[in-house]
Amino acid sequence: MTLTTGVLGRPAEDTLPPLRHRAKARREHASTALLLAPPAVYFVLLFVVPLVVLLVYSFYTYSDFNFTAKLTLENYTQALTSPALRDFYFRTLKIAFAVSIIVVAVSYAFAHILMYVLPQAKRVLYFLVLVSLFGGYLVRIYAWRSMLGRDGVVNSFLISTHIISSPLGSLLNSNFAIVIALLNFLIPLGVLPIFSAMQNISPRLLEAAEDLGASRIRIVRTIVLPLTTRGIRAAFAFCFIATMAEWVTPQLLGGPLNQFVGNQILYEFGETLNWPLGAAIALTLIATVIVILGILFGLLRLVTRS
Amino acid sequence: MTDDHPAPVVQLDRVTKYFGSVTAVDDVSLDIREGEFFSLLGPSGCGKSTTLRMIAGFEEPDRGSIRIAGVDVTDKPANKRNANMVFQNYELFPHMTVMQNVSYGLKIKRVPKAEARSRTEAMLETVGVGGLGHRRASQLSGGQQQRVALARALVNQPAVLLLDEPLSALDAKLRKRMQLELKTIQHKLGTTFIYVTHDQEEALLMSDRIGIMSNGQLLQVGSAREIYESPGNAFVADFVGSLNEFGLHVDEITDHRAIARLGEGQRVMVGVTADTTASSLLRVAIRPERVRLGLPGHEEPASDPGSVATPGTERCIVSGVVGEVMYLGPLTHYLVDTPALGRIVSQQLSERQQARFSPGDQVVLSWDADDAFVLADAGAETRGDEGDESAPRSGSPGDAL
Amino acid sequence: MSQEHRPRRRGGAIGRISARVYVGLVLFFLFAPLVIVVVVSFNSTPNMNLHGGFSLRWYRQIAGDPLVVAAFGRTALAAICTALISAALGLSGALGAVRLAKGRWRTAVFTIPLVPLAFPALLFGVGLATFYHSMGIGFSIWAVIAGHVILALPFVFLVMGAALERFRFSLLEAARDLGAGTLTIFRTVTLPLLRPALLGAMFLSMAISVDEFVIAFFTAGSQQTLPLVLYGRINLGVNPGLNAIGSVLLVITMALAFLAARTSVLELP
Repeated sequence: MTLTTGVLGRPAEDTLPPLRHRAKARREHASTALLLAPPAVYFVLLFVVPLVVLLVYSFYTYSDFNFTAKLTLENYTQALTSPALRDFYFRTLKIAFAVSIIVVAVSYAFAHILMYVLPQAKRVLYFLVLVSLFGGYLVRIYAWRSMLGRDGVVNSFLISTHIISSPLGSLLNSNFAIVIALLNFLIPLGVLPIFSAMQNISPRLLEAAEDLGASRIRIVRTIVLPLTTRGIRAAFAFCFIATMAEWVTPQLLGGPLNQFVGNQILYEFGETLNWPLGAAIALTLIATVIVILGILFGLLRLVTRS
Repeated sequence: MTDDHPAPVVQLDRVTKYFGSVTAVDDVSLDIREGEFFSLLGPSGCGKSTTLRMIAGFEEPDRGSIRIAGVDVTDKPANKRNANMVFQNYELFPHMTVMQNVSYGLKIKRVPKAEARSRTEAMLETVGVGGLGHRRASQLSGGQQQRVALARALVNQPAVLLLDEPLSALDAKLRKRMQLELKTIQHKLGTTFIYVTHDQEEALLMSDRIGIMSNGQLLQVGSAREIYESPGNAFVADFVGSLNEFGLHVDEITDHRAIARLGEGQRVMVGVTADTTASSLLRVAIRPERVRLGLPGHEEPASDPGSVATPGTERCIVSGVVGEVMYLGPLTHYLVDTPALGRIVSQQLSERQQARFSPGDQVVLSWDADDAFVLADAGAETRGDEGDESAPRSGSPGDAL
Repeated sequence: MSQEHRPRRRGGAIGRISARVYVGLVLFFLFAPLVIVVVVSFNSTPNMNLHGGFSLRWYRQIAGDPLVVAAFGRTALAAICTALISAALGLSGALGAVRLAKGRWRTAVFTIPLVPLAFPALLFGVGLATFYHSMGIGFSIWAVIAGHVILALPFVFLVMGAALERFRFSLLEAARDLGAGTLTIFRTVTLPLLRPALLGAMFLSMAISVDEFVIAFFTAGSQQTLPLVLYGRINLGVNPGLNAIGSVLLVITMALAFLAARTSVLELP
């Protein structure tokens, strides 16, 4: 008996039945588009468009507590060259950097402890941090305002423990107060990305390093740190952007000498009704932030590559 | 239809499916008869699941058409077809009870509540999970979930039931039990079953007819016996059951036999086609249970219940030494090393006390010439390229086991 | 969560003690202000230290203050509307996004909605103000809600995206095989199975909306929310009455966040 590997009565190549159009595939593509449309439309309409309008307004002309649709570059000239504004920028930048660095340091240590030193309490502690995130923004600022005042709890505490004899007036209306309040709000925000980056590192990887003889410090330096840079960058960026655009904390906790760029923007929008100028300052602010972060992260990449 | 079978329940007409540059299903035509248990059998990736899914309606053919109960369903979505599927992972709705799961399809067809309830309960009884209606899927064992999935599909009285390797997640013992139960249920209800599996034993056991697929092509359709005893090609022969394979250098040709004389009284004969000539190299295969095993000098070796012993010119004879003996319970495999043809496996019923032969014994293998097949692959050149062409190819143990 | 061996304790006892001290200090720093706000709100005297006796007078006071009550109502309205709208939009978006094949489109659809997360609220706030102004739309609680939805959308998207990642889509095939149409499948299978995640996302949206200040500041006009009332009165001086308002806000947002965490953890098998 002889066998072949032929197939059941297969007809010749050129008599194949015709290709069918794939109605089903088209239907699926249509429904995907239909599902994505509402949020996409909403997003464009209420996020992208407002920013475009802001851009357009930044070219309007201002006079007498009003503005007209006449286009001008005057606002940008002012935004970019005003010496007063430059002072604001420097002050804001200083604090933004300081706050961001402190937050990253504190958050990193916190996340590290959670992951590697006290792992049994990891879930509970992380949950607590998340909950504190929702403790409120304005409420916290308000809390510090009352706590740092002359008859606030801090002073009462210091007096009752005899560290000082009379209340410190300088706690409030200072950079110190601003920084404290910002830290209070931003540390949970910093822990999130760093912790989740650490979570993604397989414990096997660390065991492998240990098996090859690495000490704990070396493991952190050569393995954990490099693998968590994305989280660190995210934490830094969050804090930096948030602080650069802050105005509530300086307004409520800082004195007249501690105001940020954001306060100036607020002033233009609220007091002088110079919306075009406010818009211009706002947009140059975000541009500045993006440029600074870009340079910073670019440098970081260069440094870590070497 | 030239035969006297009733109109087919499912008709696939030149169905083809492409996934990018891959042809997953290649020009498959198939008729499934009403009331039959039909299996699609083949290795992973052969296209059997894709074919099943096209019948169910989850994939659309690129060419060809599909008819269910006479209706062309090629353009119809899955929920409008008269077919129901039992999924490999059961896919029971975790947020519903068993009753709610099983009556889901009935509810959609707006079957009145009372009728739905009685049909559901009856079906649950039929599949063997009678009292479990109020449990949730997660509270059931694998076997029970399997039955619920079956009930959920069958209660809708589909024209055809599609089963996609439904037993693969069960352990061996449970599998065997479910195989028989599925067969019983199918007989009892008379529903047409199309069953996809890669397990050839399962297919042989359960099916009225089997369709073998490989690389997207439907190679052969037939009853279990037809597929096993009369494989249409080398792939089918090798896939269903096991084979001994060896190369054979033809010495002379009689009117219907090619003969190879292998020295010392050994000879092997096979049937020939028109293009076999003297001194061609053939690849030959024989099933282990057809290879009889005996001591040298004895013309009638150990009995083989099924064979028609034709003494004389039609018997092939090869001598060798027993290499290994593998005891498998009801059967014993003797791996015999033959200088002429390499390793040949002979399958015998097991002796009660101990195997008839032991490693090191000189034995004579024999079989009827009609039991062997010639494998003539178009793409088999690679095998010939390995080493000396004239030497018989030593089959690896895996070929025959 | 993948299988994790219990990690070995690293470092000696001193390391662990100082670690606990550090964690304790950080948590103290994070929670102390909140605790103090709540405690002082129960002061029987109008001063800001912890010495006063217990009293509910300040809560009675704000409960009787029509401005506060109205603001509370508006805040609640904003929270609920934000939750409903962002849930609907976020669910639709996530369902659509999950069908996309891997590629540039998919990456874009999964990252762009997250932009409002890092985007400074000040910019978005003044942007909205100019937008409404240019369209002639007045400032109102609805203007605020529209802005809050943008802020909540990334969160809803993230939560629903994660839930859909775990979703067994083969269940939908089974439902279709049994004859269900698209809407029926959504109603009887998809939605019930996504309910925990959806609820969690809605609670999260509510928490975000209740606490939100900057957008509300720029777009609420005269229809102030509770944080705006708090802000307005801070400048009049600090007193425990404000602590009461602050405590109310605090407790509500944290309760909502807690609910969000709990409901999205309760997954069906």
